[in-house]
Amino acid sequence: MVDVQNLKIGYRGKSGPIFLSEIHDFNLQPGSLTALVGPNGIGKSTLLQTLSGSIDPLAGTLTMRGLVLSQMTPHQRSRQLSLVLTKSQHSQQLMVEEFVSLGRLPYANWVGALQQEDKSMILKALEATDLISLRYKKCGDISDGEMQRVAIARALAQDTPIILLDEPTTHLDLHHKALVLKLLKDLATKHQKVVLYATHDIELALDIVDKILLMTTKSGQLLTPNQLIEEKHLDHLFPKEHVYFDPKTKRFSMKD
Amino acid sequence: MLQGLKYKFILLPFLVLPLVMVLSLSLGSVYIPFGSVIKILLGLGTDDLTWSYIIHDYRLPKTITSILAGGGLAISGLLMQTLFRNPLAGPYVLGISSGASLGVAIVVLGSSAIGGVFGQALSTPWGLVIASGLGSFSVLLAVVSASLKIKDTMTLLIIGLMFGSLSGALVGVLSYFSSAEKLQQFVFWSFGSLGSLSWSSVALLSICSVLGLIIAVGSIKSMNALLLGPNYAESMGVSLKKTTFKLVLATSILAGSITAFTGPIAFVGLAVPHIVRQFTRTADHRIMLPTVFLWGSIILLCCDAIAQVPFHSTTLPINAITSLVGAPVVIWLLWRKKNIMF
Repeated sequence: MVDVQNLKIGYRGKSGPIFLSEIHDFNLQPGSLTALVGPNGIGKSTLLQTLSGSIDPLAGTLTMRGLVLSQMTPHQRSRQLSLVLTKSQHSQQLMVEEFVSLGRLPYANWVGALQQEDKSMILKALEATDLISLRYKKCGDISDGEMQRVAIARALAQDTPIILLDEPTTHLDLHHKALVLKLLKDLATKHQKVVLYATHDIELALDIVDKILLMTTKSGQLLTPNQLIEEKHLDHLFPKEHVYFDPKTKRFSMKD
Repeated sequence: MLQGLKYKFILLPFLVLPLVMVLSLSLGSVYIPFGSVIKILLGLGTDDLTWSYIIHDYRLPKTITSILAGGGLAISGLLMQTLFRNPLAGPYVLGISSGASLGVAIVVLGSSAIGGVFGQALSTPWGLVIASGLGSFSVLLAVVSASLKIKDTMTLLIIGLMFGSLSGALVGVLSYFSSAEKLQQFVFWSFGSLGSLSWSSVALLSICSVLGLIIAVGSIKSMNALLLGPNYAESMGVSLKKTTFKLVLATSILAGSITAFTGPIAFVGLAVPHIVRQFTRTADHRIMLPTVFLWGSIILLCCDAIAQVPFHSTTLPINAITSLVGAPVVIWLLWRKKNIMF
């Protein structure tokens, strides 16, 4: 559903384009949960921004459900993919239900009036993320973990075949990390969506995802969790002096 | 439950506004019995032609000006707060009032330098309107063209503030070299005044206000998307540049034209959106836009009634009254709430 060929990502600076990373090709299938993994500053956010169409790739083609991303209008894009962001600068004054309802804007008329269909979609999104009891609370009054669920509910309400998430598990405790990941897995399998999320929680990702998109210096490749472990990719992910990966326990540990 | 609550807050100001309008029409330095005010308004005639003249040619334009200015400034404040995601933003945040003062300062304080008949002509009321209009327009032209180039709203906000302090400094230099008499004239302009508008001025102000409001209403959906922050807004098909341009343009037209005709009026634009937010419990601009406009009108009419000093011939400067009455109200509201949220 998401096809990428010879993609070069980066951004355009004053003195010409700044190259960050290159991914030869990968495609993401409906019903699959994929984690985007890589060290800080490697270009995970840039890749997500490129996939969401908010910045252009330096080279290569990106197609989503047969449509070339760069040729889609912003409105068409808004019906194909939705985002879940950690730093969204939203109004704290919004009620949870309003925040989720705004996901329906791409389908609304010029003032943003909602139809019955939109309302049932919003209700479903609130139910799936277990937010019914919080629906009339203000976004400023709920916890980080709850806000993360609200952000996911908003993407659900937008009802797109593709969902991209930027570090949805940061700032959460282990329990809530697991909760969010299970929710994402559900979204992928039950609703047959493409779900791609950037994360630093590699160990948790190994337990639950179908594929891992590993970004290392200058390149990226799509692997299954088993490939990742067996081909020892994780050994080279970080510099060797402080941490190492134990393939038996599937966990990182600190060196003495 | 939620729906009912929302509609109550929309309906309430619709009932309050007519009451405050009648109140504002019956107050003034000349005492006119309440019954006669109603009679004159309904066109039933009156025993006293002077009364009829005062109502028709002085108080009615003033009331309409107050409604347009209060509502328009409050809407501009709302647009700026949404655009900059900042509770401190107001209609004058982009330097509109500073631009207007610069225009007026050049005309009033600099007219001795220009001299002769030309200088005389510029010091007339219409000259002041044109000068302050041109002043705010040129500051806004700079800010609007910046808004077309700059994607980041914070940068735009700082550029607006810089333009503001730049024109403020120029006004300071001009004042330093002016005579006491000219300075007094300038200070009087900066007090603000709702009362000096002729019917033709009111008509022009109405046209500008309607134009600004149409742009604001047309941006409701994009503004609601902006409540989620710029990245989400963009991901839902909203063009940030277009929206920024539209909101800056609407604010310019509204606040620029109002300041040109009434002089600077502080507080209303900044505070009314906050007051309304405390009560409506929603951030939806479909609700906020009409409610903020109506409460802006009501609050400015009330301030004007206080400025009239009922049954007394003194009139206090409106620009001071709005802050004098309004600031304690906002402080009290926030004191109760303990925090200000945007």
